Amino acid sequence: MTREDKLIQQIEEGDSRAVDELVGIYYPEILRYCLWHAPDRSVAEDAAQETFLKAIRYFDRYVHRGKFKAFLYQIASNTCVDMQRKKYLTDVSYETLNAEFAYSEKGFDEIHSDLVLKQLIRRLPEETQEIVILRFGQDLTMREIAWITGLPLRTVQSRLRSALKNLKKEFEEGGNHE
Amino acid sequence: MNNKDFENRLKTTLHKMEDREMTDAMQKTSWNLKVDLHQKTQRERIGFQTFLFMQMKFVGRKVWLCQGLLLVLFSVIFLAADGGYLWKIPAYAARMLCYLAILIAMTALPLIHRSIHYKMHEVETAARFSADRLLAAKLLLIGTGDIFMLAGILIIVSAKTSLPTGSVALYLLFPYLLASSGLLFLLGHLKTERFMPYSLSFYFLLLLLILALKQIYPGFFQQTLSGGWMAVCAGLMVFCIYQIRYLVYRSGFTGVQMS
Repeated sequence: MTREDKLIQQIEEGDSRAVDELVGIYYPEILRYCLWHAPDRSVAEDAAQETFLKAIRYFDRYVHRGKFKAFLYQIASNTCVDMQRKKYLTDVSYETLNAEFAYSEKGFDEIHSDLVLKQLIRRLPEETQEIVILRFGQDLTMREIAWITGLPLRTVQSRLRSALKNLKKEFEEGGNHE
Repeated sequence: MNNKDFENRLKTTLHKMEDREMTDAMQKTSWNLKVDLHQKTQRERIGFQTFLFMQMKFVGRKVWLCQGLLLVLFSVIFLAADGGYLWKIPAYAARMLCYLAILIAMTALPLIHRSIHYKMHEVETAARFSADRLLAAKLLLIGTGDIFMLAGILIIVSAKTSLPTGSVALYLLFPYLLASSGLLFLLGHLKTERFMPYSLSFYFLLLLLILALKQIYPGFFQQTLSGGWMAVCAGLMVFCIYQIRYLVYRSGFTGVQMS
């Protein structure tokens, strides 16, 4: 049994400390994932919270097979889609992306290059963008990504390969951040 | 820059969002989770059977009423026309039964589509069961009604036409099970937005197949419910049960798959 499965068992038995631990393990990465799909931080925090709430509500639907992380990401993905459908837009301008990096104290060149890269990622088709974010932003395995997105493993692999090739080419050409 | 370097660059960039302070948001989330968990454990846990009986009150009655009315309509038209000319000819009667069986299977589509389209809303309302179990309950209720409809048509057609009862049973059961197997398979393996068009296409192809069989293999409409056909129908029934189980027990939270 994995650590997460043990925590879930404790939560189901009513141990509230296990809730803190589970949130502590996954909140940062889920929030980071939601930040990609939300127009601002407060919406992302709402989406992250909603993800955990749904995970708790539907615990009895999760089969303990060491796939809790993928289960959580699937909920996060659908929560973000739901929020986008309700009222939020997915298109994020260069200025908005710029604001996300306001806290950074690194050099301008690095910030600019990060922004270009993010803009390029945002221009990818939705499903491909999701694969890139889950792979490189959330460090999920290809199998987990295939499971979350509902795509065959080979499709995930080929789309990722193709996306990386195009991203690298455009990034090296300087990108276009209008 | 080589590919590995680019991938590392990508990783670094995409991980940069985690620097900011998030303790307050995490604590708020933990707190709300505990409140929700407490509320969840307070709610009475009910078994699937009890849930099914509850669904009978909300959904079952409406569905069965519609199916009952359809059966009455069929009976009135069929009996009023004294079977009609086409029903007197066994091969035509067999084909009509196949079409009827497929149409009966199709009547589930609007309800299933509504169920999967408004999944989250229904789950929130039910507040106790996942969308998949809710869907499974509805499928069982629809299936029960369909069985009664098919049985009613079997009795009426057997009494009024020269087709043997075994043949009537075959031409109702086989196409119905085939159509239902396809529907359940598509339900379990397609995304919501693709379900309706693919299902309608599948049913349309089935209807075309019945039409084409008249030319390709007319002998199909001279069969009866032999041991071989019973085995085929049993196999399709097992497949349907497997697909319903797959819907209910497949890994992950498929109930949240709204896209």
